[in-house]
Amino acid sequence: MKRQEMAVDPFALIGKRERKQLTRRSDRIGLAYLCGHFAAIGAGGALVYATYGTILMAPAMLVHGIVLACLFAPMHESSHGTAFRTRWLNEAAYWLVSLVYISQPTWYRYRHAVHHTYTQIQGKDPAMVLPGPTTWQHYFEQLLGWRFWTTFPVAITKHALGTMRPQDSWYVPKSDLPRIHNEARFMIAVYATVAALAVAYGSLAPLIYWLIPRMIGEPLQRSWRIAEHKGCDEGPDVRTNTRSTKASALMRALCWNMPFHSEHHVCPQVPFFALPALNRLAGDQLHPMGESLWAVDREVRRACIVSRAEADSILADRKARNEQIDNSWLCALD
Amino acid sequence: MDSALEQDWKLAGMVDDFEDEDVAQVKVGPLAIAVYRAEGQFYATQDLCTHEHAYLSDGVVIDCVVECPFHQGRFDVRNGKALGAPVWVPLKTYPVKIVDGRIYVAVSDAEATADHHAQSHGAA
Repeated sequence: MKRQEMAVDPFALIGKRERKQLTRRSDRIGLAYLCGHFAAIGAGGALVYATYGTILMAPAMLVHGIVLACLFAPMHESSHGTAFRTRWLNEAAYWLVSLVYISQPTWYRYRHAVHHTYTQIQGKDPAMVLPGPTTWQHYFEQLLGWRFWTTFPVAITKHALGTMRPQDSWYVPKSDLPRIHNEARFMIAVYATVAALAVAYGSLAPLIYWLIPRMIGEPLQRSWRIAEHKGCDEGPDVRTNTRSTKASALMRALCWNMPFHSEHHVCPQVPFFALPALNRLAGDQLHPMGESLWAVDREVRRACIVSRAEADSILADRKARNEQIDNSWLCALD
Repeated sequence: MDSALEQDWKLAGMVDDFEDEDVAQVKVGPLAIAVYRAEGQFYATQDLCTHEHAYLSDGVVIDCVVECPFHQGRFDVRNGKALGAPVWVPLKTYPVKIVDGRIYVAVSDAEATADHHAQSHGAA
């Protein structure tokens, strides 16, 4: 989408001088957050180890998993190149976090760029969460993130084999396909090595300390993904198609300030730590801030979820008007 | 320098108006050019990002790299090279000279009036 086609020029919401101040990057702050996040993961792992075999192991895995799933935040931030000032540091962090979080770096960058271009445009936004009509089944699938575990392996295997899902090929330039294919091969080799070592040593560590916690810790992170856009306008106005939500200091830290999501979409070159300052400058021109994650989730459930029969009826109406949009390719990848 | 090329130099601003790691848009006819001050030197490229329709003069300059404000595509301002996803098409660059504190950019009249919207190549 060209900027002049947007309902508003997002860069006009704040002056150039303020923008220059806000877009300054910091290696020090980026390192503090990244080290803090991995220290929290280490502590969570230690907690799981300490409670191994006891009734407290399940809550320990949940806490550990929430922190692991929130690695989405530094993965997302470094995909924008805003986590650090120094480029190689940003890219190194991007690769490290992407490997642990299980996301393919270059593919994600292209996909996420399209998300910023076509935010909330059904059929175009590859990261659109719960495109309507939304049923309870869709809601829980998104919340639990289960489809990630069936979709991502298929996608990365296709990339490793030198192909790509048809629904992804329109936004990736042919010249960069070899990079995506090679990244997929490298990542599969890393994961296969971890699996082989676990089998060789008869160890369940990757399951106990990584994959199972990640699965059970997923819903909180996915709730944030729902709150960022669901129920907002489905149109090009960046002031209304994205929502920020109030969060505790702990949650903001774990999510690298991504609850300030409207501010991020208005000015994606602003690094995570400056988003609260951007909120103070321009927040009053954006979508009203959600009072809390729970309040937004409740509102989404109340306003957006329809019965299966209603969903079928809406889809039939769209089909009759030749407005049917195929969203079947969307899944909880991001 | 021959007289024809001499005529292509267009005034693009004053040196003192640029901080280091700064960028500003200069219009030559309908053509938007981004003029940078990076690591003490001046450079000029097309202002329109080659990825999608956004102006690099709204972006961020870090060292000798300009970052597009829309998708954070990065280009080396010295040679226009695209530095990785989501950008892959390089920027056109323009010669720059400084005379008496004034910045001049070499742009021919033909370049200034070409269809510059064709410079964006976004797959989207």
